[in-house]
Amino acid sequence: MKFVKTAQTVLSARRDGCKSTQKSQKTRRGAEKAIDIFVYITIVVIIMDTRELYTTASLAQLSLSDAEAETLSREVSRMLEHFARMREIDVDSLEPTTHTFSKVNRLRTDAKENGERLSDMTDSLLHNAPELEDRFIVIPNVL
Amino acid sequence: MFRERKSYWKSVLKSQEKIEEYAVEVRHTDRRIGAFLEFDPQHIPLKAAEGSPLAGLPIAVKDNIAVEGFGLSCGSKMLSNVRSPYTATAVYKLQEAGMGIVGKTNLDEFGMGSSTDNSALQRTHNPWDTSRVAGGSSGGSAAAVAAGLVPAALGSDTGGSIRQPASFCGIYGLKPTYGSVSRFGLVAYASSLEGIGVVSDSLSLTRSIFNTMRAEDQHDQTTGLAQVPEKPVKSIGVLVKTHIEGLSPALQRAYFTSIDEFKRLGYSIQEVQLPTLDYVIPAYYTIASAEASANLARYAGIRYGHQNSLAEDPQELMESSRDEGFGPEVKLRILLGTYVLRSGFQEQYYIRAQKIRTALRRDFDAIFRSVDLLLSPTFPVQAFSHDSNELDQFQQKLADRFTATANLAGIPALAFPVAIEDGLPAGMQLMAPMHAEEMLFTTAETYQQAFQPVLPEIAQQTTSTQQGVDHE
Repeated sequence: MKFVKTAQTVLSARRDGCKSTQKSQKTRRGAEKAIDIFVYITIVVIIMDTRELYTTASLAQLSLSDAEAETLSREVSRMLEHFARMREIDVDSLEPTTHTFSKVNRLRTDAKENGERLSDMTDSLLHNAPELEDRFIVIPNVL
Repeated sequence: MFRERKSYWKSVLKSQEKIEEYAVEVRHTDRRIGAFLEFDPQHIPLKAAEGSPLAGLPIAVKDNIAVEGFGLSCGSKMLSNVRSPYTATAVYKLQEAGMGIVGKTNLDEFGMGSSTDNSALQRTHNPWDTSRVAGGSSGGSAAAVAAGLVPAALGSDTGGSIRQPASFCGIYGLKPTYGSVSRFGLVAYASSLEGIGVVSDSLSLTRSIFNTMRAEDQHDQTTGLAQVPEKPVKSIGVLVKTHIEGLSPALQRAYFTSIDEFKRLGYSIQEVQLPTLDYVIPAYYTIASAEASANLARYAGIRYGHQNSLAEDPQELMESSRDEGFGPEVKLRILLGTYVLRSGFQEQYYIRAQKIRTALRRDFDAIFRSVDLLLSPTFPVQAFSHDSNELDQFQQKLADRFTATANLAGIPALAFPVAIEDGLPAGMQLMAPMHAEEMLFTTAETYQQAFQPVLPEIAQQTTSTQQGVDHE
């Protein structure tokens, strides 16, 4: 608000065509700097939000159109705001639950098992691939 | 209900002629409901299973559970062209017991949603009122049962996806104890929360199917069974008033009716505290989205599924295939999940959510020391309209608070029908300690003295050709 007011002073000073005294020159420089900072902060905030989303999307290997990004940005923000509720409860002394019951790791020998109902599925698995060459799945060139 | 129609269900797959009759009836009714993505009762021959109570019965399976020879679309464009190369362990066990898999049912894409309207492939309607949703994400399964197309169906439950549609359709829906039914063959969405379960209008059939599927499985390292001491159910806990706020008037009436009926049936009703309930939804969606972002990373348009064939390099291939293959709700949860797992954010979101999970389990330990079971609503409203303004996607998420509780804690829960209010089903939910499903069944069975499940008119029409009545 202070920035806006200072900006208004500058604009009205220019409008009135005042001679620039030393005092009003200082005011004008101060006001221009304030506007710059104000605009800069706003731009940074906007860019951060969208940039955060694009960073997250690229980590998730998702390409988003501009329209999608705008909608999703709003919806993600809404959810994250809701997640902030979790700060209300005191859980610092608790261990995180990764599993609803604790279990020991079950091991077996690294060998084909008898009576295994899922025998060699390679063919039926490859059957779902879009394009095959021999037993290789074809994709566009890396380079 | 099922008793009267058991002879009908046992007969539909008995001969080629019967199968064709059955198929005609199902296709005719399903044109109005849209429960099935794929229906083919001839597809897999029945195993002869002498003496099995399930022998010869048809069952439908949600299309995120693998059945060899059928598709595995998960309600998504991403997998709409995939044929499943194997059969889930839970389904395999039912096939060994003589059941016939007759088709795959519609669902919210990858199990994400509470309406089945998030399916990218088809719309499913509630058999009680086709302008309304059947619930989600197992809406197709619940609708298929409620429309009289099958006596039971398999679904999956991550945050209420079996129980909510069951209540929307007026039938039973069981979410088993985590780890009691193998997840091998269930397409993963949130691995620490989800499981395969059953919907049916018959409680005895629900019980039989569950007991047949229940087993440790070498293909699923998260399975594990435990015996709990058998004890009769005497007391039922109910949540304090502040936790029951926000119910529609119809559901309020049904809720208080169920409490009165349980009292009348001789159960002692006690108010219990569940302090962590207010944090269930943020914790649930943090964990579910995080796990979803990891589990859905495999869909990259390379080995299977939708592929953008015009992509010029692998990076573009993956990103564009995923952009084209996933719907908006799926993208939202992947982005959310990726964000809360990013370094710098994990502690405040994901780890915190897991600690809330611990707090919730402690709440339940305390509850089950003072009462045998916990009663709650399933969902704050009855089946809402398609594209309604009543509940947007965000509000639908908030409404999961009663059901997601059981998923966070790993405990079993059974949705059961309690009343018809304003022409629509109203259901409640009973929760039990881990591995105490039997307590849920016996209590719901007793409740049948107060209210018997009813199917809508469209179901009566489907089975109007049945001959005679057979008594068990």
